[in-house]
Amino acid sequence: MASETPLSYETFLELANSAGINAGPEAGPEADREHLQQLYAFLQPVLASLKSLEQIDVSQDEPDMSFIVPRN
Amino acid sequence: MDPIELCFKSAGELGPLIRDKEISPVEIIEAHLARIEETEPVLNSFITLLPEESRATAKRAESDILAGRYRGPLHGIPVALKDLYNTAGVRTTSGSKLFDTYVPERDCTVARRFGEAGAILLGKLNLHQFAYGPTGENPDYGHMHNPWDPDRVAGGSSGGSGSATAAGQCTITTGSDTGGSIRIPAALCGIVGLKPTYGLVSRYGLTPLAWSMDHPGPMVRTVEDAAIAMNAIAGYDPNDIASANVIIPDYTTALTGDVHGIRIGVPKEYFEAPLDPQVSLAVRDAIARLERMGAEVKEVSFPMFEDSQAISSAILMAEAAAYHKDLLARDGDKLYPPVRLRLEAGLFITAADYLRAQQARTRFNRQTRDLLRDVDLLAGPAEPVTAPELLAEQVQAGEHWVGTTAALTQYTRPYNINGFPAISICCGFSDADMPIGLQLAGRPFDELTVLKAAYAYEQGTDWHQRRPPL
Repeated sequence: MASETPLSYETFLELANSAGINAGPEAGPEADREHLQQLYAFLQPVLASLKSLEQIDVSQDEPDMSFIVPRN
Repeated sequence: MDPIELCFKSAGELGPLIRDKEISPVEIIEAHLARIEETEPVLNSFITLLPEESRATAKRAESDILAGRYRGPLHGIPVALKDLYNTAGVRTTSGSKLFDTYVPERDCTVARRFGEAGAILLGKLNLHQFAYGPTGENPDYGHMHNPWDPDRVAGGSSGGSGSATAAGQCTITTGSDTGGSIRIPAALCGIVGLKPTYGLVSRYGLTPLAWSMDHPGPMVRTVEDAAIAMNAIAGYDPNDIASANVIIPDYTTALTGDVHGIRIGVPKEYFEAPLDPQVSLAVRDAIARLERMGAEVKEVSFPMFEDSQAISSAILMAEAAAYHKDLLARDGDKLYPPVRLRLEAGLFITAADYLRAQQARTRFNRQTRDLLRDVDLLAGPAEPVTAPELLAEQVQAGEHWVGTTAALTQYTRPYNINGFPAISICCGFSDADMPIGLQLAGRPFDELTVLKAAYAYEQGTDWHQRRPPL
């Protein structure tokens, strides 16, 4: 399957498997294979969007996190 | 009183009638139950309706009021909660049959506070499954439909709240807003939706979507009712780790009708994005009206507006995947396929991606804080389009065809990233008689200024008095 992102379909399957998504050879049924292909296609704009985050200069910025030390 | 008229009266109008014993909560509840029976086959707003429970509560309220135990402006007022708000003894599905029989033991804080104020729970409202989508699609309990045109979406994720409020099925409803889920259905259904400042209304007892961007809030037909609802539900809650310990004002003091001295910034980038010309015209007219009423209006620049989708998506998708990871592994194939895809895609966002998005969020928040030093409010469209057709994958916004999810969250996401208060109010109708929403956003915890401008605009127009053809 062609990919415009650095994520090949083979790598995607490995990552999916390690993320707990049923993607190994045992996935078997056609329905699962079709779902994985849909997920791979769905991921493409998501990955492109993540790529666009790299264009933002955040060198001076810490992550905005909600953790606040309790007062007591 | 004509039952239909009762159903379209606001809490602000019903409250004094109840207090003065001119009308009984029993009569109000009966009118709403009849309205629901009449319109529900078209709208599908409710997942669980509580006719007997609400009748019993109404009778108790009537007895209390007759005995001189009137509790205040919400006593006897019908409310309904999005079905991800836990309600003790009443099932809470989060829009999934996987939770069809889940009955919480405790009320969420919002339900408890409404109950203490004397409001009457009519039922639990339909939503986009797990609140993860902006259109109001739900195969498990049926899709939601827009009262202005049932072939179009009610919006999401709080679609049942939008349709129920607009159609007079309920006086006050609630939504939860992670990427726009209060303001989207409010705009598409022509009602008022207030996303309060993050931490102002407790999330305790709500099914999370993304912890750092979830905002509970009211969906109503008038700005006054938003203020009345906020008086009941806003405030510190030790059960919510993100709850803000701030002084809660009387939000109804914002209802002066005066906008003199309020400075409104209009980000030029809002009008450079894909935008339906009819929406653009209506929103510009609304802003011009506010200026004629005495507000100072000026164009401002919000350069990071274009980054809001990337920042918001990375954070929302990662947090949603983390919350639902076990469910995905166990029952992924039982989820609505588009929701499953969104949740699974979040598993591919690395910790480094997530933290980069949070770094960008810091920068984004600084920019919006800086913008709100020179002005008191930011104004623009709530939505770039009116309600799309059901299940449309793309919508036309001006010259552009845009993915429906991206379009519907275009203007709402920024205020989930920074947590600032934002409201959508109706500011006109398209040629097809579909509502158009104006969004006003303010500084953190400055709901008073947001409500003040929204109320003044509303009082100068009659959009909020129109009723859908149902």
